Amino acid sequence: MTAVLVLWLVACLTGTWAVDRGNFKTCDQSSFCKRQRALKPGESPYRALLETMELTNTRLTLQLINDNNKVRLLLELYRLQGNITRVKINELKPLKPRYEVPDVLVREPPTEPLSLLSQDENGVVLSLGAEAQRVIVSARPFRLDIVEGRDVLMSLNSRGLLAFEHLRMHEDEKEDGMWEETFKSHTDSKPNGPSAISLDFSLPGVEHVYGIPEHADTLRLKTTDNGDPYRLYNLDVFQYELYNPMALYGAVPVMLAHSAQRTTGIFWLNAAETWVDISSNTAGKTVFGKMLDYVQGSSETPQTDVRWISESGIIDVFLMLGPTAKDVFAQYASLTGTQSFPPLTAVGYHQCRWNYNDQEDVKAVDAGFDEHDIPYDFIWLDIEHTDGKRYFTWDPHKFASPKEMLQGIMDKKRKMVAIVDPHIKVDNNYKIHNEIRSRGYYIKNKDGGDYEGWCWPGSAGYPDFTREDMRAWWASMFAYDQYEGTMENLYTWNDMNEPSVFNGPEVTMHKDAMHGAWEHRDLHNIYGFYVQMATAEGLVQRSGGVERPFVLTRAFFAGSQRYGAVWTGDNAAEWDHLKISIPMCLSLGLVGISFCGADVGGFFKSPSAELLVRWYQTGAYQPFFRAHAHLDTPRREPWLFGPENTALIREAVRQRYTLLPYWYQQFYHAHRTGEPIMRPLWVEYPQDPATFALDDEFLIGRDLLVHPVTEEGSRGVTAYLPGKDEVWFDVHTFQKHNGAQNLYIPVTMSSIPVFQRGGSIIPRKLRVRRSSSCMEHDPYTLFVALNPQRTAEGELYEDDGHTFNYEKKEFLHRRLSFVNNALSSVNLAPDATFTTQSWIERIVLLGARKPSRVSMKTADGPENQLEFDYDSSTSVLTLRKPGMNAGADWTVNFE
Amino acid sequence: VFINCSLRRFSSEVEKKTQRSFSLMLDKRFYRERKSFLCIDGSKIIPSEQVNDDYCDCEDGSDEPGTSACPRGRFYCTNLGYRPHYIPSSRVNDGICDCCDASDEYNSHAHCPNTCWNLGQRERAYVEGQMRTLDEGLRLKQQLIEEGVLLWREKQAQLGELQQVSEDLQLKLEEHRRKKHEAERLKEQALKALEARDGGEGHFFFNLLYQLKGILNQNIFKIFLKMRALGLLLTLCFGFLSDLQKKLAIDYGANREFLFLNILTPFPPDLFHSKHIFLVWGTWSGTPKNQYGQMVYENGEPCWQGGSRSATVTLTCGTETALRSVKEPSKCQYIMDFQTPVACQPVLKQQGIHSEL
Repeated sequence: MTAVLVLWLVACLTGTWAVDRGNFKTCDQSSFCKRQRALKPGESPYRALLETMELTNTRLTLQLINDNNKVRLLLELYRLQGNITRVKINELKPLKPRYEVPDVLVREPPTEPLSLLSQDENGVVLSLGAEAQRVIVSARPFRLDIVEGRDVLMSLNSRGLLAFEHLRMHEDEKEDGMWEETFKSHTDSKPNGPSAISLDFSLPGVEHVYGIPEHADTLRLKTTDNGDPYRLYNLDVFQYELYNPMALYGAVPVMLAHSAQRTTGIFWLNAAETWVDISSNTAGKTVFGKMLDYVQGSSETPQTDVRWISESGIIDVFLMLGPTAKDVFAQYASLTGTQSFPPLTAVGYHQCRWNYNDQEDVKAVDAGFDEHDIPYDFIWLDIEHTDGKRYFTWDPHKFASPKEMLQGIMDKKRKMVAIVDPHIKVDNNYKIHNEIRSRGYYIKNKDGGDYEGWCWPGSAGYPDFTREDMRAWWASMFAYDQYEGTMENLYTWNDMNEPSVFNGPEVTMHKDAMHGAWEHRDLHNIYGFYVQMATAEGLVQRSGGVERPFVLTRAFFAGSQRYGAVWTGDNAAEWDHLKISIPMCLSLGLVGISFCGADVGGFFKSPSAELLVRWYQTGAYQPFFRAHAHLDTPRREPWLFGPENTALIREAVRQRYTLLPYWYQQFYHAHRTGEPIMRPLWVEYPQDPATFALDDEFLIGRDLLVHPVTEEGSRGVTAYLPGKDEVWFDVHTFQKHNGAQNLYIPVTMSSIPVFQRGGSIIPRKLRVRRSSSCMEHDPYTLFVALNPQRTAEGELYEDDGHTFNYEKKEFLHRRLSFVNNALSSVNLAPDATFTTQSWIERIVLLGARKPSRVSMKTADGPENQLEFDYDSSTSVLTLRKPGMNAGADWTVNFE
Repeated sequence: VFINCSLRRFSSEVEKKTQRSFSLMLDKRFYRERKSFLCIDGSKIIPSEQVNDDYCDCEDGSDEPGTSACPRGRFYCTNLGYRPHYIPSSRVNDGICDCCDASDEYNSHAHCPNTCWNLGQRERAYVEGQMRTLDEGLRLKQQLIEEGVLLWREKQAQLGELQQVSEDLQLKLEEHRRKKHEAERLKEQALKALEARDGGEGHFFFNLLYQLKGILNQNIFKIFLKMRALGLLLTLCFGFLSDLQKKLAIDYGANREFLFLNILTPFPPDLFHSKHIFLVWGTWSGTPKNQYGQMVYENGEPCWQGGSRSATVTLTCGTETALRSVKEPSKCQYIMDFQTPVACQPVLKQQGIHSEL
């Protein structure tokens, strides 16, 4: 009886009947998804024609034949540098070219030699580089297995779901939905007919897969057997729901697979509408069931099967073979680049609202921050600042003198962001529209006229950002003499770039709209990527290539990390939305987009004071920290909720600012390596299964663990502190806790549970000022947290904070290490130069013993004895004013 | 207030700064040139070299009145010629000019001019203007209070009149009700008589009675019409009465000085982008000291997408009664600045006189 009840409960919880899909398609309503999903596993019609195999030094090509219709495909296989294998499949002779996604890869990936190990009539075995990796090509049915030693890392078409809808003449087949389909009142003309592609991947030994943002779902992806696949199709979803696989604003077709042994990744380079199915042979089993298997020894190897389905284009897939998570990050970064290095100021706090009404309003909010002594760096203007939603203009009454306003903000060393959306008001008196139209830069409708849709300004055109000449022109519009009223402290926000079309199918563009020769269908998911690319380029160009840009985007694709920041769109002032901000940003970080945040406070609806405070406390520890609110909500600047809540919010924002040196160093690291800044625990503790599904806590870099309070009325949280041999220090009380335990932490409204890893050194600036620029020359306090071996290590990075001069080696990068009772700073980049005014004002050792004497030695100075203070109750040793320059070589000895 | 904060750095490292510190007033209680310094909160004793040495030793920030070292510290701007004030220590040497005497940016790249004299001038002129406004405002307010007394009496008289009229009307109505009752009784009797003689006396008498019934009916109908008219008048009268009572129930201030404002519907329709928006009087919402400094209107016309319109009106002293500004910081929530002589208060004058300028 109980079992029945449990089954019923499980069915209820996993079923999709509760999801209101409203205006958006289910797989069943998307004809290609329905067709592809109807295919049965184990019936692959594809056969490799081994006699067509050609192997050059860098490339294997091979024809595949579909035995049902005799259509031939061409398979290309490349071994890429850095343990990546690329598999491309296209029609051997398509009726017309199929779309291949340009501009996402930072370069043509460099290859490594492939060699033939063996061959017979059943298949071919190739060697993949030095690591005893082989790829086995089986002929009948066609299948690829990537093997290392005795382990199969990944298999392709192992379930036989490879499908390639070849381009055909209209007369050939007239199945429903192939040549025309209608959703709600919108008819998609589909002049090219069916063109979908699909491929399955098996991941033996894998029980955890992550990535493929953007979805409002848990960090660990769920199996999709009982519902719709995860959908990747950039959409402007009004009041999105949580914990479901529906598509949202952005799409990164990258999935990571992890087990205690290995991390791998799949990058499916396709910009058309895509659906991803996930199934697992252990998913249905309870913990008890798994234990039973283990005891009875009947356990089969766990395995996750994944299947990608896209509407058009080709199969172009990069198999990133790890073996560690950090290797996968490096592999993906080598393909699509790393997080852009933002100006330091963008890492501070951002104050946004739809809308700050006029210049006077902006001034009053700015003054409010000073009056309440809360730091902030950016104030934002939403669409109402424009002259009738004509971007690149200012409302002549409300924002009559924008330069005066910007100067006022500059006088406080602060910045501003103004929105520029990619829908352009159709208005013959609007310069931007006239230029785009006369240059023919608009996307065309299926009949060849300029595509028009409804958005904020009413009838609007959509510039074709896939055109390089269009992007160059757009970038030139950000020049100070073109975009009137702007100054160097004005930055840009690209919203609605999915693109959002209020009267279009699923609130976006018709798939039969044309970008030159290509249909919108082929490249929908990359439109937003190009908008941000062109905008960022504009900001770089207006400064003559000197200044780093800052551009926020809502839509994104693989590679968007190169152009700025991303936020999770129009969330709501609800506790669950606060919670979901963690897995949503963690998922983005795993696929390269580190600069992620959610609207603090929630966009729709009005937060309670408690929710707002908790959101500030959470947002202060997420990479992009911006409060934002809908036009219809009451004002919610931090001082409007009574003095107690103002104080709580002030404290959260101040904690952010004290940590800016650490955050900035994390951004530099992400920019160099592609590693996520905000990362799941399993990335650092890959062998600890307890971490694999955690998404209510996270790490910033390696050294800070954050478990925000995201429950209403919470009196305590249970944080998992990882690492069997590790210790963690509460950053507020300096209390030491052992790793590999679930720690219950009682909380009050002021609590933000944050822990510093024993073995790390974190630089902070404790003199919190009005904005990050005001703190530029301030001294550092080093927090040295000792591990049980009494060692610690950290870094300190500094540059001018806003130019590209760091690329010309103008920065300082120090390694700080504590070993053998000596703390020292050595130069990590001897060929770089940068002079800082900042000095070390304080060193705080956590988990320290009381020394009898502490002395300091710099390279050119005499040995100095340092004053110190030891608190035996907390084992904290504080060195008073050592005073050395932050860029110097020095050693502090503890005796 | 301690004058301690006029002290700047007196670290021995920088001669210039040492001079600066001694050129300013010192409070001997705290910064005597002794060997040690007691944090003002008494928490710690530190050597006097550590005062203003750009390192925070005291929990309360008292050892660093001249630097940015202490998170809880304050810096004193002397601002000779203007008004002295404190700023948070975090604004010392941050590259932004805060003190008008430029004293907060003694070690930064900011080139801060001394603007105290100009600010002082401007402030003095402003305060003088304010004083004039206040004088005039208080005079006008006195007038309005006097007028208010008359107005109040007038309204009271109106109230009395209305009450009298309504009583008269009620009496008349009662009288007519009685008459109608009487007439109906007569008619009843006539009818009964008619029925009792059933078939007996012949046509003539029957006709007579029938006509009588008609006359009685007409009479009743006439009375009914009069009653209806009286009822309408009474309803109107009650309407006026309740309006007036509602008006008079409002708190118009200690001297009924706000009586002349039409508090229930004070704002012309063109204020709201020429749309007529109804706002319902809520309450006075000023501070305990100045209860009549602010008013709240609530439950106004429904707002698009839920909620209803509301307004917070701040009253400020001026020589005219006029709305100075209307803002809508959040959708359908207005903030208004209303100027009127009745908001002028003598206490402002005292503050003005006591200004340190």
